[in-house]
Amino acid sequence: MTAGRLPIEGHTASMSIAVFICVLSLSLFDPLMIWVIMLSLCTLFVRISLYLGWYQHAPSQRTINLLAILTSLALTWFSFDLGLLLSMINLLVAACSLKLITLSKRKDFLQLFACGLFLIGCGFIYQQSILSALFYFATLLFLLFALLSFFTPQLAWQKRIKIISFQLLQALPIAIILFLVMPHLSPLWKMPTSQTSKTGLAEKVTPGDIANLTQSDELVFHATFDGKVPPRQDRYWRALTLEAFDGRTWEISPHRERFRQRNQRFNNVFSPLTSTPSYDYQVIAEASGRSWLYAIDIAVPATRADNEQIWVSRDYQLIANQPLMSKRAYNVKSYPAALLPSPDLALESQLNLMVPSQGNEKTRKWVTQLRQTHPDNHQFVAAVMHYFAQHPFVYTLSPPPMRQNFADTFLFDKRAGFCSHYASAMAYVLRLAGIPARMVTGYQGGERFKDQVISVYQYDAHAWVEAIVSDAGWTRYDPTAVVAPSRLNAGLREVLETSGELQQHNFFSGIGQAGVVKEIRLIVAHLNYFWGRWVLGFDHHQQVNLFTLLFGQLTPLKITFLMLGCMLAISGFLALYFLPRWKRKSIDPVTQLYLRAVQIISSAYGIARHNQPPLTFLQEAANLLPDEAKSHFYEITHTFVAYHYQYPPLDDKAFNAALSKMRKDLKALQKKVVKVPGTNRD
Amino acid sequence: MNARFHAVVKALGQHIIGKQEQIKLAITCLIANGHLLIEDLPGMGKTTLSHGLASAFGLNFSRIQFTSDLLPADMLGVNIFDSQQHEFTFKPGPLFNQLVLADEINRASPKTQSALLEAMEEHQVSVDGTTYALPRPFFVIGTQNPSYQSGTYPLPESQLDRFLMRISLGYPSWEAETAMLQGGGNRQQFTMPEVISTADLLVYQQEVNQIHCSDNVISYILRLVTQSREEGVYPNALSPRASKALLQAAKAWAYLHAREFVVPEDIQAVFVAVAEHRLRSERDDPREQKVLSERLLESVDPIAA
Amino acid sequence: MLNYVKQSWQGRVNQWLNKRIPAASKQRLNLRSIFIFPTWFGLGYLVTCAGLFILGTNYQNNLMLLLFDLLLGLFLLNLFASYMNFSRLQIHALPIQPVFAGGHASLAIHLQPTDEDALAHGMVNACWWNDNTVQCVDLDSGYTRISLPYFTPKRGIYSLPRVTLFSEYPFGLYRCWTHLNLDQHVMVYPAPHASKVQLQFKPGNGEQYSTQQEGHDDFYALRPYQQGEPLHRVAWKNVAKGGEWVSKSFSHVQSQAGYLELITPCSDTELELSRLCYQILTLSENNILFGLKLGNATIEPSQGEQHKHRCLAALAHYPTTGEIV
Repeated sequence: MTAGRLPIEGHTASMSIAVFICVLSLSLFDPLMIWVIMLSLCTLFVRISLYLGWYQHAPSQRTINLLAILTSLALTWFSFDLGLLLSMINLLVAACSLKLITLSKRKDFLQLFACGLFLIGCGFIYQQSILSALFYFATLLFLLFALLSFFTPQLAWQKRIKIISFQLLQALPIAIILFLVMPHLSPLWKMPTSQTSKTGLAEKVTPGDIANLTQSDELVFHATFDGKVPPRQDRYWRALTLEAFDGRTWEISPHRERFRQRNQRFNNVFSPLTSTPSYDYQVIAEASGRSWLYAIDIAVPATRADNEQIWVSRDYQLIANQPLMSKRAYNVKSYPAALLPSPDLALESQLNLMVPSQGNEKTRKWVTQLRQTHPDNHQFVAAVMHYFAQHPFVYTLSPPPMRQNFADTFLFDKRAGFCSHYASAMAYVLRLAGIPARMVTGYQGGERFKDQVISVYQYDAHAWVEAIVSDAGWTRYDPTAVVAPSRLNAGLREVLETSGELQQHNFFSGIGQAGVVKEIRLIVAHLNYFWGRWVLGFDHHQQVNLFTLLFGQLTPLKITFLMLGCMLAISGFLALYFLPRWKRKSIDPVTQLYLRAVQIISSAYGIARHNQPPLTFLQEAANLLPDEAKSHFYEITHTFVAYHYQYPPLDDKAFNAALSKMRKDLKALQKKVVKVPGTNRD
Repeated sequence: MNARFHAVVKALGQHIIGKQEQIKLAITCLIANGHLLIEDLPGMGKTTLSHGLASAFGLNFSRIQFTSDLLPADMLGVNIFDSQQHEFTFKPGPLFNQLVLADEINRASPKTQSALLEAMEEHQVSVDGTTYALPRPFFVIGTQNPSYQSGTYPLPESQLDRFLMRISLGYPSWEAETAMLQGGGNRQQFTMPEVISTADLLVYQQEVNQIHCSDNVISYILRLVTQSREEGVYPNALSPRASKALLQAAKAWAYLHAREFVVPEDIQAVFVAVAEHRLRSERDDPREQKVLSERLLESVDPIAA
Repeated sequence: MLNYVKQSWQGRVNQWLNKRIPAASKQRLNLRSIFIFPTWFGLGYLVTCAGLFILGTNYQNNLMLLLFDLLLGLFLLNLFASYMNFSRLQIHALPIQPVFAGGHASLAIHLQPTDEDALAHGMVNACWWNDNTVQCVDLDSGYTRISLPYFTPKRGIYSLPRVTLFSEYPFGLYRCWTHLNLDQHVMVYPAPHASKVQLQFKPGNGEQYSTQQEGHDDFYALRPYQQGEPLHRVAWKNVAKGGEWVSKSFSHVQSQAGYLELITPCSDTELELSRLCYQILTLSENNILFGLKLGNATIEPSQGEQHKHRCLAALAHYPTTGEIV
């Protein structure tokens, strides 16, 4: 078994690991390329036919080598598109699949097992909900099943499952203790991240191109407030500030990006001017694969740990130093302010006045006219807002496409769209009028999930406008609020209901229902919240919080004790599992006492009992024992014999009397025994 | 020890010097209502012992010399036509005695052997369809000569265990032989006073059954036999009949020592005599592997812990 | 030099083992006799775990960390599970059959659970200590016997080396092993070497060696009647004459019994012994009565399987070569 080849037909272990790898590659549908998944499916087919004995020999090494070369060529080709992380995962799955085909040695199998563990880890990069966690832990069970089958080929499978489940259950408490006390370090180095985008906010917004906004009821983040919760219409969660506009598309300005990078390099920290009052809250953000964070203006990281991890950009964006590959909790302090001071007025004004020199003639003409009548910036903005209010603009999630001359079409022709249409059009108009303006995207509102907890979903995505009207800084304008005030006060749902669009958008389907379904949804939501907050979001900060809560201020001494305690707890668990069960072997007290007496004599005089019956041993010992000890041992032996062999048996009273007498004798014996030096050989 | 048995042992000891242990075992066998097998070279005092036992307990004694042409009828008896009564009358053979010495039992043909063993087991014989009860008590002492194996019919294992015990007298010690030579005990005029009456012996045999044996001792017996069955070194494992015999012998031994209950020492005292011939394989040389039963004894702890 | 260091080290280890795991034909595995250490795979597993930890930390992925913790917990747990499983075994060696030189003696090891309620699982592998030929048995298949062949080139009595037993149950992360001295000695008879049967008959006192078996073929002699003898044996004629009671004795004459003999000194003792071995086998096969004289030892003429083995054993024991234990 050690060196030889594994059996092929009917070998459960290799079959199981093949199924495992196939299931896992299917679950990694997102990151994997379709042909890699196909490859693993083919492998499964090969394994099944080998297992059932349809054919006897694994494909030849030459075939596999050829396949391996082709695969690596293909992977190299695609790796330019995919980026490092995805290429690696694809490579891992492809390599596993190929190895599976040739699987014939012990070493191959064990390597596959280790790769399997890694694949489960990769699965966690992409999916972290409760259900997927359960799924992946189930696959872990299956993987262990394969391993156990490898080492116990003859054991019944039910028994194997039992053994593994039992071991996993036993390991669970230990894992939990380790999870709680193991240091949750900050990233050791920057990891390659995947380039596929998640649904949600995009770094580029082209309102005219989007005919139908794809939004979902996916959770974006939870915010847990300490104390006051800001009212709904003030909850503008900034995510991105888009300053570059080419007539159609808004995106993050490359200049801005460059400045930020330079500042970060020189650690030129931006601390916005702040004033009381403030909101304190913790955001638990879902994995987005991006590094921007969500917060209400003006936001600064609340704790030192957060300060190290989060960069406050000069356009009031919060940027994490690592993309959010998993749930991420951060603490923020927000200072609501009407005006956001501009850190560099001249530069920002210049940056936010750029418009293409052509296109949208109608709009240009209209702006020139309007500017002439309203030379004051405030008045001009008010006039623009008024224009939106006055004309029959419609808020809809399915606007008609407006590819050419977006502003003209939107402002004068179609007059239907959602937030980014309004924001884009308004910002463009303001720039034409010489007022620096930019588009901000993020989320607005959010539902109250619990008293202090706001949950924000993808359908809360929003876009608004910021403009420098006076030199004091940026002012927020939200044209959507003018068109559909209920969007702000009551949320998107309200808006759609009034416009009759609700039925088209199935992402609300669950919310409206009442009764049990609603209850269940609520429970699931709570579970998810708990999962996110305490499992996925459990970081160093929370760890310290937890320990402080339990043990008060943490001192080095306390930490030492804590570590010792945990080790003790783990050993305790192990002892609990493995120490022999006492109840099975109950020795009656008389035998116990007798054996103790024998032990005393054996160690004192160097005579072992060697399976001798009591009376025989008494005779042997009698020659060695001093008189007093002899008489005590005589008593003990005879009580033992009487208890075990005599007829009629002792009644309870006599038994107790005999027992106490035996105890006394034993004590006396212990004193009377004279230790003979040099004969101790127990 | 029970005073009366002590007297018997002492009386016999004067003739068979230095063999106290074997004498005690023989008496134990007798009061346990079992049969005794003595395996020895000729001239070791087998006959003396049997004679002595018979006299001490007032039993009538007969000796059957087994030869290859000995027929069952020679031993059991025959129906003879009585010309005066004009009918067949049963003429009992030498087996109809209370103590029968079956000398060199392995020389007889298997047919004769099995007739003897059957009689031993059933305590009765059937001749021509009529069943005749053997006298009570009925005690057979079989002897075997271990040295010559050729031309003999060794008892198969299945029949060996009809004998409750097997003992071997062996050569006497220097002192014992000196004493014997000086004393010059004449074998032909060997007589001994009756110490225990036959009626008493029957009572004792009943009383042996009343001896208490606690669960702990029974468990010890069971552990011993289980060990013999599980460990692969014993050619023949101990049968349930063996464990029954062990218990019976241990009870008798306890009785002999005037105790009302059995202790593990009793088991150990009789164990070699009871178990050795059951453990050993028929083909084994008796001079080798003498210690099978001792080995078994050593491997089991009488105190279950 | 290196060899010397190796040897003395080996000696030390042996001494230590003899003290720690004394020889016995039946052994229960316990804390003293079981050694345990992670396998290469176990170390690889730890490396994989470390990889998961780094990955989890770098992606700030708590599920990966949880997976890491769970795997670490399993690793810890397996140390004990593996040990417990192995310690449930009770091992005893079955007696070894003697072999002829140049053959393989086979040591059969019986693996039993110490407790019927807690069975050991998985594969158990056995090999001679410091030897690579591994025999393996799957405890779950219900077959619990391993036979280890031991090559015996020369006649003599050899004590068998230590047996290494190891198991990697359940996940192969640890290897539990033990080196047991099962206290077994193998008797190696000389290899039979074809030769002519040369039974020595002592001329002159051949009478002494022909056996007079009591039987019933031929009348042999009269002897005094013993009480209990069958009556038809009694020589009634003699009794009728008023003489002593005598019984007839019959004899059954066997063919003359001769002796096989090792003639010393001889040029090649081993070859002579091999020849004797062959002769013993031939004689036994033909059921011929024979005895054996070997140096000072004499085995009286007899026949049968038992006798054959006694003679062969005497050959094996014969001094000058072979390691006598």
